[in-house]
Amino acid sequence: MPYVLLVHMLLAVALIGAVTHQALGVIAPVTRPDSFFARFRAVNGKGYVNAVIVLYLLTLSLGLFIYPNYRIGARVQMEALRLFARVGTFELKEHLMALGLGLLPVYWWVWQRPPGEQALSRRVVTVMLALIVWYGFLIGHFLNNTRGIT
Amino acid sequence: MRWDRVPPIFSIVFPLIYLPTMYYNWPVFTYVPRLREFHFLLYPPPQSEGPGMYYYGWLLTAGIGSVLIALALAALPEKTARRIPASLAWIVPLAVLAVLLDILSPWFTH
Repeated sequence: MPYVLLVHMLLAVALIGAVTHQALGVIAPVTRPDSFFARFRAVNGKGYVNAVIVLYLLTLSLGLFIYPNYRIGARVQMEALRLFARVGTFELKEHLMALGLGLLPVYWWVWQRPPGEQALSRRVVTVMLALIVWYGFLIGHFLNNTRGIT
Repeated sequence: MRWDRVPPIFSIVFPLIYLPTMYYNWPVFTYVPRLREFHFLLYPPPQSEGPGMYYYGWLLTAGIGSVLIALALAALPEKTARRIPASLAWIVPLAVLAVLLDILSPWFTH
């Protein structure tokens, strides 16, 4: 199981990279990439869409595969230690991942529209997806540091 | 049928189904990890079997429901279907998130 967790983490890193590039590119697009931060944002967001969707689905699938070990292992121990807030952060993670899954179709759809169409929705949906991915990544690692999955 | 209407409608409907599904616990199936057993619909396992996992079943309930409703709404006449703004696809999840935070708040005030 630790190997599956490791692959889950590596996929999440790739997903974070892709969706963060895209989100920053859509929030603050640049025309002259003359600094590191500007170059980070100067990406063709549309080119990331399919990769983000595939990586999200793969990362989520591995998370779902690992989840039973958390449920009967780490979570039981955290409850015994009365670390309820930490359990709550994971509960929120699972619901956010579900909301992210529901967002994927519209995320794909808004990026298929012409640039001037659905610009606000494209921006908001992309940023929402990026925040969901960041939350899932950080909480996953925080809880794994609290009580690792075996 | 306008197929390009299906994705935004799916994203509007999914959180609307997911929220009551998790709150009232309507999974399509239950997984009992200690026994590695699947049970159709809701199965509250006895204490000796360990906890039941409903999350997979909730995702499936919301997924199936959203596909069916999205297909039905996409088949509406052009004039009616155009009244569904795509922005609802991110407004609804944000509203559902606010409700979820309220539902989860006991974990943080326990």
